[in-house]
Amino acid sequence: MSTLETQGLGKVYGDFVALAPTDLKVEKGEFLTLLGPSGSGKTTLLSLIAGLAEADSGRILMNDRDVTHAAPYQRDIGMMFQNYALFPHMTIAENIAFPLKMRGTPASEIRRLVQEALDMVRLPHIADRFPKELSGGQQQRVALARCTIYRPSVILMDEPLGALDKKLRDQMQFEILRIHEEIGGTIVYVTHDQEEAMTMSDRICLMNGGRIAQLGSPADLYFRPQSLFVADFLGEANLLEGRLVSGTDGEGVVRLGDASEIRVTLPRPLGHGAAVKVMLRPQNIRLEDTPGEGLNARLRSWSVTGASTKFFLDAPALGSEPLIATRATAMSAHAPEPGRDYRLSFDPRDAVAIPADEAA
Amino acid sequence: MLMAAPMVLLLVTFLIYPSAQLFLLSFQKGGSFSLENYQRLLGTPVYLTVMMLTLKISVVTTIFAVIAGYPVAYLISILPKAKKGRILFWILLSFWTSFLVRAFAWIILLGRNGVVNKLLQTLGITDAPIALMYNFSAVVIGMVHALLPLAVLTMLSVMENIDRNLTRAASTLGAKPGMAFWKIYFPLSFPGVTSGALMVFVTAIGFFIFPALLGGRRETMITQIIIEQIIQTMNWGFASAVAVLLLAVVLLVFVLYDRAVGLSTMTGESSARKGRPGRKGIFSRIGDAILTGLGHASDAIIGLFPRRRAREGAPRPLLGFVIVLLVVMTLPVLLMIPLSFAESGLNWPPQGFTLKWYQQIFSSPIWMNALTRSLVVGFSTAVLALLIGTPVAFLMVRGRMRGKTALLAFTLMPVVMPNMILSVGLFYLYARIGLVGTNLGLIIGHTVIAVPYVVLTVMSVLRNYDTRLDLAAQSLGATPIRTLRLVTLPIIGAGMLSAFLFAFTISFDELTIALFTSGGMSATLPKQLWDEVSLSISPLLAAVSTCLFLFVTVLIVAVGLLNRRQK
Ligand SMILES: Nc1ncnc2c1ncn2[C@@H]1O[C@H](COP(=O)(O)OP(=O)(O)OP(=O)(O)O)[C@@H](O)[C@H]1O
Ligand SMILES: [Mg+2]
Repeated sequence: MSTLETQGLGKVYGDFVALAPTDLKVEKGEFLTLLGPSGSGKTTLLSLIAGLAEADSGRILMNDRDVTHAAPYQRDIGMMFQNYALFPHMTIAENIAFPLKMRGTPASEIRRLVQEALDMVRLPHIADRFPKELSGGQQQRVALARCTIYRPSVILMDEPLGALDKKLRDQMQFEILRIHEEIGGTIVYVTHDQEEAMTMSDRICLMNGGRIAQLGSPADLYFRPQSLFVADFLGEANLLEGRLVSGTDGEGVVRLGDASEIRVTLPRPLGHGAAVKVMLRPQNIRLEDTPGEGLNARLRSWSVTGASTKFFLDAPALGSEPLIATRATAMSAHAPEPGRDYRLSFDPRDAVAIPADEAA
Repeated sequence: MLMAAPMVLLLVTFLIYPSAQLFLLSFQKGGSFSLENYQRLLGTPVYLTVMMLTLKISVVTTIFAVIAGYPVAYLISILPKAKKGRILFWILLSFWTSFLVRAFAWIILLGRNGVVNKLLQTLGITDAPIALMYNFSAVVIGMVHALLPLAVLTMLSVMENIDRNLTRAASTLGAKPGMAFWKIYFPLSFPGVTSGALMVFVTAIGFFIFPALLGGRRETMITQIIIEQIIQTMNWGFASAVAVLLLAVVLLVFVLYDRAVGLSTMTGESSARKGRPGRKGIFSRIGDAILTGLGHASDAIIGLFPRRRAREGAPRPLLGFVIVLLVVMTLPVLLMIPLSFAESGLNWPPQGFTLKWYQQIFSSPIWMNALTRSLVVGFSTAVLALLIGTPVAFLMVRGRMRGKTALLAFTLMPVVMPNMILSVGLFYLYARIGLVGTNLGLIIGHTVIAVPYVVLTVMSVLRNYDTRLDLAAQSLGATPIRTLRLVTLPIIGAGMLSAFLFAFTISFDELTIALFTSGGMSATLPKQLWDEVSLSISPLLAAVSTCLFLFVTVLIVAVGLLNRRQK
């Protein structure tokens, strides 16, 4: 059963389409992430679901109930805001108790639940403090406790970790996942940090220009991008130009600029002769030290980026852009000479053909 | 510290010293120490009655101004930027239209043949003109009208800092609109309500224009006694004692306010109260219960009406109320304008059309002298206030030093001190050093009251200015002076010009100081207008008031355009 469903949900501001009619189904207990560049309509979609903005078209269903025109307080949702939105004039306990009070929960019950919630976010001793007296991370946890304490069926989070530093962010990601598991609610999460999206989500809804670019598991999006935008947005990608020579049932052959042919994967059927770009992730390109048959490239420069070393290679056959390949950083392979030649090889399953005519 | 020196010198010499002088005078009789002034003040029933009435008028005015102003400020704070500006324009227009002009407008409006009486008769509510003026209500109506913009602007400064996500968060957490307002928004806006009330009260308590023009013989306020004592009987000792009493009341109100709410809320820096861990007091629990009750009640009322679908705009009834209020705020002055073209009398509707009143003004040496003097004094005041205030603002925003809060408090002294006390003190000082009736005396006095506004305006401009631009310029090889000239000043120029116009307008509208220190042929425009209004009212004065009003309108529009261009 889906907890949350949108049907043709759209929003325009004046004549600007902030969200094109969108269909989306979120399953019960799922962690769905809305990912996309700035201005792609993530917040718009989330506000429509929360009832903070009015839809211009389409419907919203929650637990099969039409809530398109319901006020936020009539929907069974919890929302975590980017700047926490803790009430500055209330203590932490009062903040967390607020949704329960609004629901007429008896006082003794409230006290118990608040203490439980504080324990859950591992802040048992701050009930009587005010939000200003907490650190950013602590405020974040309180906000989390506040929007989950009444077990709403959908919890919405708009870039909840945007304001935190890297380390705290990692810690809070883990915390959110733990609580998600503990309470088993459905979460719709917004971020524009792809790493965060990949780590946390069951599914990612990648958005671009007010539309869904692709919806699927993190692995789906990473390994089987259906458009150049998706390939480019998630991780680093080499895109080789070519034409599809033959292809059936998920596999095919692409002829590159220098007439060499490579075997590729086809995530969706394409006509023969179609212009395609072949996506090759840098870490999936093997550099053989002895040049020979097949694709060859010359080292232009390299740099150590930490655990991996990046190689920038010139392969005139593949276009003017340098090709990027990575290798695990190791002393044994350290400091190669620029100008030396390599043979490139890769597994056909890692070379994905994407139609080239689609706008990136 | 050197940067603040001119201002400190100015305020010490022309604010603190004269006030201290008054304080000493109040304890003297015939050159020796005596408590006789105070004995007379506290022992005469008339003065006590006046004191009580002053408090009563001020309290009633404050209550009405704050209650009426709250929805306006609230609406402005939730509107999108473009619409916000439109409503704010009307508030600012009223705010800057001089009290005298507005009081005059009410005289015309409430007169025997004024608009209100005509309207009542046309509607058949009364058959003959009734006396609407010279009573308590007229004074309060005039004063609420005069101080409403101040209440709105003070409350707005707090409301603008309330995060709009908080009420949205409340609604996602299950709060209905009424509950979200009373439990979240209202408590957060409360510091604005209290500081608005404080500002209105301390201004109202120093008023004399409205009771003098709209009140009857019973409606006398404390500042009128000071004027009477000085102008008619030259009794400095007694006038000083009254002034000291007035100041004592104002200070007492500030102290009580600080005890109850904390003065720090005035600067709008933190709208949250300081954290007090532990259990809440009985009062806050009662308050909480009341707010919860109000929340339920409002939601019950809202529930009676069908819910509008578009939740994004402002609620209709609120918008309606605010528009009506804005019309009421602006209309009195606008209704005065057609009367300035009337052939004769100030009866409504205006009879005929003539420009003779305007011709009379422009051919009268008295009015033209007054106009010239007002312009000269206003311009000089603005220049001087800017020269003295800008360095202080730089110091406050950029400087790294302790005692900034103390300096700010010191800077704001002229705002807190009733103008009447300053004026009497200056008059006494000027009388001895020969500055009475001179432009210089006026300029100094006006600069004293204009400087705090200049400092505040320039401070807010500097706060929004990205100092990295300076560093960038310097890193590109500009000397600090050239950086200031080529980068900083052009960018903050519009803000500085607003401060300049701000100061100019303050001087141009100022009456209290001019009342004492500009006499006879050396009157300013407001002083001349005041003298004539007190004697008789005529279409000529409507014409003068119209000119003053139009002048201010032009200035406000200019400032508005400047600020828009800056963004
Ligand atoms: N109230 C509004 N009026 C007009 N345009 C708006 C409004 N709110 C959003 N938009 C526009 O709609 C588009 C989508 O905005 P949205 O806030 O949903 O983006 P986002 O994906 O959340 O971006 P970000 O990552 O920067 O938060 C943007 O181009 C934005 O300018
Ligand atoms: Mg957003």
